[in-house]
Amino acid sequence: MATLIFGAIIVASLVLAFLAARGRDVLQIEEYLVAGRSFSGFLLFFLAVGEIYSIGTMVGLPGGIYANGATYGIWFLGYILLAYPVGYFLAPLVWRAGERYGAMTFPDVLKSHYRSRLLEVAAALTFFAYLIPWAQLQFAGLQVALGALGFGISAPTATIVAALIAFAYIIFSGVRAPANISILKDILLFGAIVIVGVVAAYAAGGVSNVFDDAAQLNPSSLSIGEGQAMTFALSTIVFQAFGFIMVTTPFIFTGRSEATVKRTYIFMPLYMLMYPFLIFAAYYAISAAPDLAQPNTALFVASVDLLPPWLLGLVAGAAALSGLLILAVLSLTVGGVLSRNITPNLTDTYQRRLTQVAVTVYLIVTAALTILAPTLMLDLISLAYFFVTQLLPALFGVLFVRQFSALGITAGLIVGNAVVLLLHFSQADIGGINLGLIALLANLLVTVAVSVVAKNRSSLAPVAESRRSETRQAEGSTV
Amino acid sequence: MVGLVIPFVAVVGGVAVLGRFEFRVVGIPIVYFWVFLWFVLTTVCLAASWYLFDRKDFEDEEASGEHQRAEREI
Repeated sequence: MATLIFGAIIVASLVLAFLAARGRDVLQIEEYLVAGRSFSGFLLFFLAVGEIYSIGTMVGLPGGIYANGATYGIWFLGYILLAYPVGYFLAPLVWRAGERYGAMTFPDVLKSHYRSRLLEVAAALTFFAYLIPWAQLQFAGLQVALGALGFGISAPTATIVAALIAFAYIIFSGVRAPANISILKDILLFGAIVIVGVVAAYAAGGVSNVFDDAAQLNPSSLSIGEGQAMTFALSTIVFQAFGFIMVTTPFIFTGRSEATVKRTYIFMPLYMLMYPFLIFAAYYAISAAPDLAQPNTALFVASVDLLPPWLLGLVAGAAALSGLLILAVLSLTVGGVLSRNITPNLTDTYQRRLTQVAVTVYLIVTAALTILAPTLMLDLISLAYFFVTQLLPALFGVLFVRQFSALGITAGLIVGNAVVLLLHFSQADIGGINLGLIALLANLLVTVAVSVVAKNRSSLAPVAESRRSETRQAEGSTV
Repeated sequence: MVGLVIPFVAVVGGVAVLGRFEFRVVGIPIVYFWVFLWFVLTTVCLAASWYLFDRKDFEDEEASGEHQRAEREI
């Protein structure tokens, strides 16, 4: 029964993906990557929510709480929540930059603003560095979700099947497929989490008991305490709340207007109201299923215990959809960045074809990495953010800071990424401060220092200073 | 700035202060309860800055933008 429901959800999502292309000319690259910048607030909300609440939410968060208690739980909730106020102010400007330069990827924006090939390529490579752990995260989650159904498919098989489905989503419809599927997925995910949370609280005899039982086994799991754990939680919340804007650039470009983007952000925090239920379920798992070898399986172990088979199928289906959907969006980003920023000067048809080849390679490589080198999921999230957030000085340069030069930003970007690699792989002790934050500081210092020396600034005004009417004129003169 | 500063100060400050305590509010550990509360309050802050400050600017631009787009298409 669980398998049947699960299968039905996957089939429904494939149908939605296929229908998404109806009546649209997806052969055009702009249509394929940013849906002709046409999405209403409604679709934008679902695509955004669909991409933000990845399988990291359903598998990674309970796993993190199970393994590390409130420090990980609060970090995860806090950064997403604060990302919305940041997005409310920055996202409309990102959209404006996208429209002004006809951009479909963030490196596109840099290319047009700075006319620096070096910076464009450095930014594109940073995107790849971020997109690899992010996809591993989805694959790792999918293994857990499929494993929970209990028909004993091996992790490699699950990974390969997942890659095939994600590929099928976008091959026909480009970015319209994930937008359509995300409506189904967002509703299922919300429903599934609320059900598991309510059942878990009921089984324990009330919310209070859930936390009491967890505290008996692990007294420190209910608070963050002081010292390094607190430093880690706070610095990571702030760092990732700002890094988030970089993660979300691909779907900001699909919006219809600045006002649409801005309005959409107002309502985003409300979707988070599912989290209390997820937290209940995670703490339930601490006491109900102690000593799990794989913390990532915490939510599903609790679900198998608590739910009838058909509901289990629903929960696993919702989790799988969220992973697949994001793989699809990530694949599009990879394809877009490769075909437009690494190998430009191709015709539309070739760009689209190369996009599809790149997507295939990307899915194969990340699937292989996931099978060969499994990691705790929240650590993959951190790693992805360390990289992508290094693009912040570049974004600020485009939006606000006229004084940053192309060479300065490029140098900062390289130093920032180097510091990330150094600190991450040497496991240096930095007192609990988020290492991405340290890398970002180094990045900023270098950006400013080099910008003072090498003054190849952009001749264009920062995006935030230009109003719409000027943008139009600038566009007219370049076209 | 209503929308940006207030949620940041409240969430970061709140977690810093409340994170060390263990007591509960309606059965939920205080630090979680605080963050849950801000799911709703952040929306309130953002809605406030939209209706009080930003709405007029952005909707005017949207209207003129669409007008011009229509012209270009003709």
